[in-house]
Amino acid sequence: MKKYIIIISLLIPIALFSQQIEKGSMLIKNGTILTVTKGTIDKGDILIKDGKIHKIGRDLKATSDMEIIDASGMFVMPGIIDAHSHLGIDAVNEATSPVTAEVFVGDALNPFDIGIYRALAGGCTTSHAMHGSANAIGGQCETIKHRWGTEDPEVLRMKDAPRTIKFALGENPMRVHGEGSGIQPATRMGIEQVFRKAFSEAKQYKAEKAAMINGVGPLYNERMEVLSDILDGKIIIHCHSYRADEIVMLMNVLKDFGVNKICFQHVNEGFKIAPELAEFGASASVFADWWAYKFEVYYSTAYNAAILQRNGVITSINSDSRELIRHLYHEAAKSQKYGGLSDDEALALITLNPAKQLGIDNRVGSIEEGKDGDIAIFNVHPLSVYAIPQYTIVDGVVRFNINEDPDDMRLYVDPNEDIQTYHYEAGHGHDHDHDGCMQDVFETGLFEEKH
Amino acid sequence: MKLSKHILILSLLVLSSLSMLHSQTIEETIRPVTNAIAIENATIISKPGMSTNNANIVIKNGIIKSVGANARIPKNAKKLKGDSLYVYPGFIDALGHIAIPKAKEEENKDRPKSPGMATHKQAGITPELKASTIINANDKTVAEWRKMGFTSAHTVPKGKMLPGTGALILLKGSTAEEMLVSDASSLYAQLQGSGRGAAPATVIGVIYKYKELYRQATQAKNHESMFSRNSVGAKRPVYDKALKAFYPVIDRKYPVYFKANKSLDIHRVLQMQKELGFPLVLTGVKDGAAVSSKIKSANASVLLSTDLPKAVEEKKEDDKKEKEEEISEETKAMTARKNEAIKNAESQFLQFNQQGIKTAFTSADAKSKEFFGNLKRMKDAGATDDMILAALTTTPAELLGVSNLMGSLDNGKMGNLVVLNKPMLEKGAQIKYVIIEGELFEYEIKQKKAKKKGDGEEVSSEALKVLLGDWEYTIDTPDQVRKGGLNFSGSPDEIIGVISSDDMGGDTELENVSFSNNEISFNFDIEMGPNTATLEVEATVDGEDMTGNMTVGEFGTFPFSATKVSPE
Repeated sequence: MKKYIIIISLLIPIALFSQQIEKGSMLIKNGTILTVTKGTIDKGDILIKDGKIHKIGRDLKATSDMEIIDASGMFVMPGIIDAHSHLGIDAVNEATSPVTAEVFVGDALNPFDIGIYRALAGGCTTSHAMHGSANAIGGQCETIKHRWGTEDPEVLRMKDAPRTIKFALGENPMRVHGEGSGIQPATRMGIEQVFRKAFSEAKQYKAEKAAMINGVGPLYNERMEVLSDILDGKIIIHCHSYRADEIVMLMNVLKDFGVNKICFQHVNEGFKIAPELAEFGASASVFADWWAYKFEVYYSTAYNAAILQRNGVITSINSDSRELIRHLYHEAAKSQKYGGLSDDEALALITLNPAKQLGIDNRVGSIEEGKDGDIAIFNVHPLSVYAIPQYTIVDGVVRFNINEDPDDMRLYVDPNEDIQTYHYEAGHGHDHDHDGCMQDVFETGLFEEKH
Repeated sequence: MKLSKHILILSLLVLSSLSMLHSQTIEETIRPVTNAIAIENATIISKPGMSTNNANIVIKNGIIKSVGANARIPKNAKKLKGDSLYVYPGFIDALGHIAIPKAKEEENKDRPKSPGMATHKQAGITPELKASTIINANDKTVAEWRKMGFTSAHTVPKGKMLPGTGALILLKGSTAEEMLVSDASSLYAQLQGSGRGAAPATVIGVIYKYKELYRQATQAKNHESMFSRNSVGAKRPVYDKALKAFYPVIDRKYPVYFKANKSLDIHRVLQMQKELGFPLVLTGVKDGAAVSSKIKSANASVLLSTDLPKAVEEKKEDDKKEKEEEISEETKAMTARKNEAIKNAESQFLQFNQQGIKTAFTSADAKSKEFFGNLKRMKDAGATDDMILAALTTTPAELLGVSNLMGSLDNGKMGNLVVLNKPMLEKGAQIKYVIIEGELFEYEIKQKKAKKKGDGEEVSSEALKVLLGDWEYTIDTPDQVRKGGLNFSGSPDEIIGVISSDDMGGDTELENVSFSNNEISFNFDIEMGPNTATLEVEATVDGEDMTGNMTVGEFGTFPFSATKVSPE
């Protein structure tokens, strides 16, 4: 009998462990530590224990089982956070209705997306995997940690991160639904009404549920459930937006329905209404210097981030791109060049501020004792144009190592892939949408509209 | 493949009779003149792990009457000599689309004004559609899989997210009624959105919708039972046929068979199951060994696809040397990883068995011609004969709740069996008889042709190389030039060909592929409205070019040509 118990108890932890998040312990020695919140420490050490920053100081001692990274001459910063990305998900837009609050990109996480590893190669440890901008009220988004190596989508989730949802203003929902299907919204006026109608319906649904008689309430409706949660302040809105007038419109709508948790995304004309945004308590996630790619984005400035930040709006710089996410540190440096932000202010644009916008600043976004062991180590100062990430660490586990990672970092290999064809076609100059890595690009939804 | 309208009309007239003739020659059906049938002196494998030599089996009125060395054979029984034959329980397809016709095209044209306004039907939500109501007893898949030893099948409608309710059928009979064993065996679900036309379009749309429907069904069912207890002053329950189709699942009368090809699909389905708690069979699994512990703890079963990736190429020594220099290090490394992925696919069946997960096979998306070959590859990867036999017989019977009816050769069970000239997965094994509920289907055992030099009958592996691989074909029809892909694989014993084009909406298997002296011929069937037409191709292969003709019945012959795109 005893023997069996021993055998069983040996087996159980393995089965349970397989889905658990890997957490590491390590000592990062002798680096220039850019804490973002508590200044810069020269020749400092960081001790990470079980995935959390245990101690920051000098001459810290590692236990014998700990990995030690010698960061002499290197710069150590908090893992970069991207508040707007579409990595690691197999569907971006459920573009079938102006309101799709019911869908959740977290239902289709894809830990095999090679983009996650490439983001790590840019020092990025956390990203906000967002629904697209086809609908006025899009789907719910997921905050993921770049735990490259896991094959379990559940492990990618940043557990306990607040729920978020995508909203969108302007041309995208107008084009998809107004032009595409001939329904509301065909204009910006229509978009306002989509929000008002959706919130009003949700209020009604909530009331019907509250008035439930004999256990019989309204038929369960996922869309109304999610909208009710927005009204109840349980979900942070992240709204795709460009023009100042429509941003003010949405703030007015939210005021009317008593909702105040919102981060405006892109917000290219944010500089025009920075005081209004600050007063509302809205935050802003912007591009460093990218605009004029369509009519409604005609008007912006590279000073946008600095103006917003100096007016008291919590501001971040995002990528919204598989490529930009690999060098957000350059993007942050641009706003320093144009807007004259301090190092800490510029670094906060890609660390602490996006963490605040995602409601995860208690765990990540700066190098502080008690926070997650998410660290990016650079050869030179990360705001330098010569910066190259050397190590990227998530939960105390090295997930990117520029010197030791093998060439082929794919987690998934398609047994039917045609290796010959690629080389043949590449060699003969045929048009081909593969890039050099032969990555099997996963299907991502119907429309690839993201901006 | 859609041919132009005037070809279609003409060929309908000419070809419908031709193609019927063609299909009748595939196998010989012997109508029973006696209600008893017996096989004498055979090796009888009555269930996995139980084999008896020199034994008899007697079937009377469709039921197994006696099995064993001493089984007495009634005088009036039709006797089949079983010397050197091997008798197995008839195979059960644990899920497939056998006898289910292709979806009609008009249905696709029915689109909502806006995708968000889709009806359930437009959205692909038809769980109430019973497979039993759309079965076509004459569908070619019935004979195709019977020929592979399948005697019964769990068949489900084709479609998008919730195609319908599955039925258990016997692979015999001339009407749906004659085939049916059960008209409600499962709820079939897929993670497939309806596309641009209707919501849900994407996988996230499907997952939310499935969860919402399940919760609504649970709610509606409770409401109904409350209402039946006390209806005075109570709100009337909604009537929704889609929700009602979930009730047997909620009552755990049968499971949801959820299609999940890849490990990510499996994770997604398991996550839904975790939230909702429905009985689950994962079907169409191709890549799931890495998730096996999660499947096990969810108490789900697995139906593995018998479709395997192309086998790892065995290269000859001289061949290797020649190419060595051209292949880059990167290609070599990637090929090694690809080969590893192929090996994983082959060993998956073994891994699921070792985990103690109930594992059977699905015919959906698989080619019947590759069936035994792929089972053999799983065996070579370590699976035992008993594991494979269980996956074809006792396990699907158990999953479908019909262990009392079929799955083994025991007295009182249905007379469903398959008889081979050799043990099932031995080289050269062929099926001689398939018996379904006592009805005999006989097949010809093909003797291997002796090689005669210069005869040109047999082609060597070396000579076959010129054919194997991917081709791009062109057909010059009077009004249009049609293009598509062709692929040849296999060995001189059996050349496997597949033709594909956008018009056909997928791959079609070639039949009667023959290749000798660089002359290739094959034929294949196309759907033309309710009929099937056979197209025949004869061509000459010269290096990377193939030129010849395609004959479309008596309507006409058109130039057919192809060029090689890549070798196998």
